[in-house]
Formats: sequence, structure tokens, C-alpha cells
Amino acid sequence: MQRVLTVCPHCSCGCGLYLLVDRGEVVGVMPSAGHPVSRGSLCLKGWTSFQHLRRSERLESPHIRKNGELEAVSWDLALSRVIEGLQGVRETHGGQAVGFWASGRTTNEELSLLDRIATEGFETQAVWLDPCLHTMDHVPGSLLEGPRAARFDEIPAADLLVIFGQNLHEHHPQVASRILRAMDQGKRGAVVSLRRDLLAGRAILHLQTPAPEEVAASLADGTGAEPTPFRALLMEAARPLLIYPLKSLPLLREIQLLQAVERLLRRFPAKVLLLFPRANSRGAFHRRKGRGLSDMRGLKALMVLEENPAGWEDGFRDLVPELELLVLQDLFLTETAALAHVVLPSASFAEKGGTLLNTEGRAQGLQPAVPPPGDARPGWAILAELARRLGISDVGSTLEEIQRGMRLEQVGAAPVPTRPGPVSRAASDPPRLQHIPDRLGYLWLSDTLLRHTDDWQREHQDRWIEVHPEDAKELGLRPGWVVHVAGEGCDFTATVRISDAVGRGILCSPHALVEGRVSLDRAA
Amino acid sequence: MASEARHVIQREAVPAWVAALMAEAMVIGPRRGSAGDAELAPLTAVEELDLGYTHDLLPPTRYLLPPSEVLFRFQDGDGVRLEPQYDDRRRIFFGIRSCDVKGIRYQEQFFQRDFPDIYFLTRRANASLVSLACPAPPLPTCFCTCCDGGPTLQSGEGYDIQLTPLAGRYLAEVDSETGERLVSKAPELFQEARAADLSERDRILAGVEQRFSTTAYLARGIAKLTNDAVPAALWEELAERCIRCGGCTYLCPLCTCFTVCDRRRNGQGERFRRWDHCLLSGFTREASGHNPRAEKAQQFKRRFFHKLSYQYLEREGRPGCVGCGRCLTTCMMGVDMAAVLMRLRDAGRRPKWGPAWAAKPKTSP
Repeated sequence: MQRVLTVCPHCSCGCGLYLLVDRGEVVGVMPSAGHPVSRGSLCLKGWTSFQHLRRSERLESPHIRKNGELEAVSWDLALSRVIEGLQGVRETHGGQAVGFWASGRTTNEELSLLDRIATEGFETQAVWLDPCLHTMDHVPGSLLEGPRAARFDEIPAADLLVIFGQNLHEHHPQVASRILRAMDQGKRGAVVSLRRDLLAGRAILHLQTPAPEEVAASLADGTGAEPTPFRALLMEAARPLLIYPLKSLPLLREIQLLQAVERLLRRFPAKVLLLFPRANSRGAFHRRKGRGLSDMRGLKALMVLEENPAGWEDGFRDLVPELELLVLQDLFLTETAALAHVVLPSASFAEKGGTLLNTEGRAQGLQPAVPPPGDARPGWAILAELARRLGISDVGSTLEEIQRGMRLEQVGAAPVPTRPGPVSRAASDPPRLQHIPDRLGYLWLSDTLLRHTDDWQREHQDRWIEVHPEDAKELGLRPGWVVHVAGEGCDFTATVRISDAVGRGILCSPHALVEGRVSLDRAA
Repeated sequence: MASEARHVIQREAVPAWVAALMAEAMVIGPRRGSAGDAELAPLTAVEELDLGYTHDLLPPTRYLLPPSEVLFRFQDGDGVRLEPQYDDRRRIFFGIRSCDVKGIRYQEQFFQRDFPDIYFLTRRANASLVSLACPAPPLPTCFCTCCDGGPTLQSGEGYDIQLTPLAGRYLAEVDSETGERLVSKAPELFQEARAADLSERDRILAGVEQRFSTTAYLARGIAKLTNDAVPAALWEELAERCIRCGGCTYLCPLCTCFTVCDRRRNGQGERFRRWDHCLLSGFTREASGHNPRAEKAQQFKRRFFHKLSYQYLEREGRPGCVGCGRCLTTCMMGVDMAAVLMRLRDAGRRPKWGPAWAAKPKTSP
């Protein structure tokens, strides 16, 4: 077994891991002991990150839809179809009708090529970013760069750790580990979240609230002789660190929270660590351009890279009938592939090069350890070929040439949008519960890689919801019952788990991304 | 059989010996990998060998029981055609630590018992072990002295040759015919060990136990586990920290668990096995859906019960831990073997770990 050092493809911690390669196959992975992020550890996502590589469902050839069915074709045919389709839409409807949707896994090189294809090939800026990103224009640059932006190794040095969010041990375990170890050493933790999780249980203060943005605002703006215990903690601290996992809240409330965090930085000698969702979400954030999903009207052609919007985004299915061309570049046939006109097979993280920017801003390189299966190609190679066919001649044909042509200085602060209006919240009305999407180690509905990871499939066969024991009593629910959850942005069946880790009137589930009011019925 | 021949080889002669060994087999030896990590890997050039290495995070047992391996390939159609996939490549593990030799030895005994595992045993039969004694703990996480995993081995404990670093040379103790054969690949490089060499070895190894700083309280832990004297609340507190990453089992030189799956495409397929671990719910869930160990606290307890009580009392007469310290490195949340044993020892006594560990009332805003 030889070892090839690369970067974990999952969350934005960016662990250094070795692919264990024997006779031309990746047979396993292990963490790098010396890597500054992984330090000898991985979470289950990292440890199982090789399992999707040789799944029999891997896409091995390009496909074109003919008479309603996807048919395997040659690369030349598939790419010709893509070029003809995109150019046809440009001629009929203009370049603005062409869109591209990258994901938080798309490498910086691929994003750079995508940018050139959009701007030079179609004179459009309609580059969409992954579901975790298209609403992120509001992140103030000062929270990401400059003297107040913290890195992981500053966690042990903080004397107060303020966490706005829950389940860090599931979705950003390396950060949770550093926080937990700091608290073991006597450092104070204050957690503002809905769910009493591992870190909240160890913290000196846990504010169990569904509205962390209001707590942040009152901390930042509060006055008066008698400070709340939380503000007293902040006032005592010499080196507080504020931590927030992005996309934990709906857009407007997240904006409120980030603006409150900015004000907190002005008032207290605090640092801040924002946690992006996916491996290259930060890289994609810095290169973001154009519109978000809410502004997809008028789109006639769309190319989606390693993302599965049809699997979770309600608005996406409504858009599809309007599209004259839907192209998907991915490893597996997903719900989005079922709607696509052309599907291009792409290489996995272990089969390609490229760079990823972790949530601290650490640029790290992927290293190919094995060739992609069948006719699959690295994403950058597919995009470079598309660019060439569109007449963009100087993109380069190797990864090194593409990197030389990249505009790496595109990293910069984002504009802060205008202040949003107050967010209304309906009064509690049991038995209707407030559904809170609870991020675990993954976004179940959209994570194509984890859905094709055997151990994750086995571990999470059932969807589940979590409710407070009192609510369960009131609703007559028993653990293990299968219920139908319906309401705003939700329509699914799930198994009941009962836990006082969640507050009253709250329903937590990791299986839907939209927050809203829901009701429950026992499924037949 | 133990031939117990003792030789000395000069430090600068070792590369020539390894080159001779590389001519006949894959030599898996310590070298510096990318990212600066020490790794035991098939050497491609003798210059890579670095016997001054610390410890490889991946135990050498993972060469014998790989993270995943194809067991056989099959073809649909008329009749069933099976092609077993045995790995009989010759491997020489060169410079592995004593604890890892014990790990290989343990796994060998496990895979010989009840249902001989031909895949593991084929690899093992083709592997020779040249171990390297530790005159000092390679890493501060090492605690082999607590579980008789090292820092040196005695005759009959599984090595073919044991190397002990002396000034400018190594003492090479041969403990098998295989070991003799390895020496015979370059006999001119070895001299007969003299009394002075042996007394230098004794001097270097004297008091080595005192140099280890990590302690694992095995005796108390075994007693409490066996007598079910650990409060359920402690298991829950410890298990809450576990994020089920599996690192402690994947990197344990004694863990043997795997799961078996099929992969098929276009009328062809392969059956393979892949590492599995006891902290996952799916590990014990039955086909009916019933799970005898559905709760994390039960799974967590089971892991320690298995290693420290069941294995010790019922099967091996020794704990299922050699003190390699890998779980101390890989456990993000600090619930590794040594830490858990300390909490078991202290159960019912005053808390030992920092203030955050003690139960404390929560304040409200």
C-alpha cells in the first residue's frame, strides 16, 4: 500500500488524509498525523470517503437523453450536444439565459474555468453557486479576513468560546474537538442553540433558544447597569472567540446574526471563526458571481456541476420545464440526472487534481491517486474541453496550465446588503410544531457522495425527527413510530425519536432544509 | 522453534542488508512520507529507510487485513464461476515496533481459531517480521509498558529478528528459521554478538519503563468492568463525547472486525470485505430491525468490555490492547483507551479531568 496525501472532500475543515493505494486501487484512507487540521484524526465521513469510488453505480460514460431515456454515447457526441444546446439558447434568448451551477465541492480550477466559460463564452455572469452559497453575499468580509478572523489553532488561546449553533461535533468535528479540549482545560464555553448537544452540555452557559440572532443582537446592543450573565461573561473575557456555522439559519436571520457579530467585534476584543459548509465552499464564495436560485427566471439552459438540486430544492423542479437544455456533470445518476438532457461522468476527489480552500482560508491541493473509472474525466478536463470548443483558446490543457491562467487575486470582501426588515415569528401553537432543519454530518437530501457511501447508508437507513418528551406525550407519539411530517417546505415520513435535547414546540430533523411550521400524522 | 542466534550489524551496513532483502521480497519499512509523517510503506529505494522514525499511525496489521479487499470475483451465467483472490506477495516488515508484532501475533491467533481465515493467513504466512526494540517511548502517547505490549520482545513472542539499537550498531536476535534466512541473505554483514554487546543492550534497556509518561490503569479497569461496577451514567457521559468516527478501531492493531459486501456490474461481480466498527448502530442491527445495542452508551461500553474483560478473562488471558497509543492520537474527543481507563479507575471518586468534566448546574440568562 502506497499513500497519496490529499484533502478530505467533505466539510470545510479540510483534513489532510492519505489515500491507501494497492495495485492501482484505493483500498482505504487514513489521517495525516502531521497535517495541521487532521492531526491524526478523521470523522466517519473522512474515514469512509473512499467507499463511493468503486460503487457499481458510478457513471462511466457520457449520456444523452433520447426518446426519454438516457443512452451512453461518446464524449465527442455529448460535448457537441452541450455546445449546440448552449449556443442555440444564446442565439435565441441571449447569454443571460445560460446558467451554471457549481457546488461547494467544485475546485478553484474548475470554478475559474466555469467563470471564463460564462463570461467569455456567453457574456453572462449567471454562475450559480451551491445551495450552501447562493445566499451568502451578505457575509461581511471583515469576518473572514483581517486581524479579527480566527484560525483553528487560535481556539485553544481564547478564554471564552461563544458558539452560535449546534451539532458542530457532527458537521465540523475538528472545530468541535478543539473547543471541547479547550473546555476540558477549563476554558469557558457559551453556546446559543436550540439543541443541547455535546458542546452545550459542557459549556458554562447554554442559551436554549431558536433565535440566536436575537441573543447576538442584544449582546451587541444591550446597555444598562445590570448586564445579563452572558454579557458579563463577554465583558470579563480578554480573548473571546465567536463561532458560527454558516447556513444554520434562514437567510434573513443569518444576516441579522452576522451583522450583530460585526457589532460585537466593535464592542469586544473578540475574534470570529465562520464555518463554511463544504470542502471548497469558501473558495466558491470568493469566486461567486451573478444571481441566486431565487432569480432563475428566464433561464433556458443550465449546467450543474456535482450538485443535486432536484433532490431537495423545490424551486428547481419548477424551473426544469422551462429549460431547453439541462446538463449535469456528476459521479452518479441522481434525481437531477433523471431530468437532465445530457449527463457527463466526472472524476471523484481521489481521481483528480485541483485546489480547495478550507474555512480558515487554507489553500490545499487534491492529488489524483487512481484514474477515473471507464470514460469518466476530471471536472477541470471536461470544462477545459468545453471552453476550447467555445473558442476560448488559451485555457490550457493540463491542470498546471489552467492554474497559471487563474486569477487567484479574486479573493476579496463581499458587499453587505441593506439591512433587512424584522422577521416575524408566529406564536407557539401546539400540536403544530416549529420544524428546525438540524444539520448533522451531512445534508441528507443533497449529499450525493454520502448517499453512495455504504457505511452511511447502513447507518442512516431511516429518516428521523426529534421531539421533546412533553410534546410527544401531548401528541401521543411513541419512539420508533413512523409519522408523516407536512407543512411549510416539508413533506416526508420519518421515525420518531424522543429527546429532551430539543426544546418544547420544536421538531428537529436533518432531512429537510427549509424551516417552517409543520404538523404530524401517524403514517399508515 | 527458536534458534536464538545473536548477531551484530553495523549501522552503516543495514542499507546493504535491506537491499539484499528487497531483491527477494517487498520490504515494508519506516520512511518519511509526504506531509512529513512517518510511515511504514513498501520501500522503493534503500535510501528511504529511516530507523529513527517515531511511530506509524497505521498499524502494520493493516497490510495483512487491509481496509478493504476483494475475496473473490464471480460471473453470472451458466453455473457459478468463482475466482478467489489470494494475496501471496512476500513481505518483510522491517523495523516495526514490539507492540505491532504483538498485534500481528494476536490477529494471527484470532484468524486461526474456529474458522481459519485463508485471506489473512495467506498474507501472514508470507510475511517476516524484523522488529525494532524501543529504548525510549517513540511517542509520548505510548503505554505498552502497562499492557505488556513492549517495549521489547522476548523469544517466542513472534518476531523473526529483533533489532536493538546499540552505539553505532544493532544487536540482531534471531528467533526463527525465517530469521536465519533473512540473515543469510547477506551473512558477511553480521558478526557474532559478544558479551559486551549483550551487556550494552542490558544497560540501554535498563529502566526503559520509567521513560514512559502515559499510564493506562488496566487492572482497575478490568476489575470494574468485569464486576459491572461502572455506573451507567459514566458510560453515557463518555459515550456522548464519542462521534463514532471509528478511528480507534481502524487504527487498533488488534481489531479484526470487517463487513462483507458484493459489487456487481454487467454480469460480473466481486465479493469484498471492508473494515467495520462496533460503534456504528448498523454493526449490530439485526435483519428484523431489532438492535440489541442501539444506544451509543451500550456500543461504547461494549468496545471496552470486549477489549478489557471478555478478551482478557475468557479468551486470551491478556487484555485486547498492546499500548501502541494510536487511539490517543486519533480520538478527537479524548475518549481513548488511557483516558477511559482513568475515568473507570476514578468512578465514584473525585473527578480527575478539568472543570468541564464535572457535572455543574447550568445558569440561565
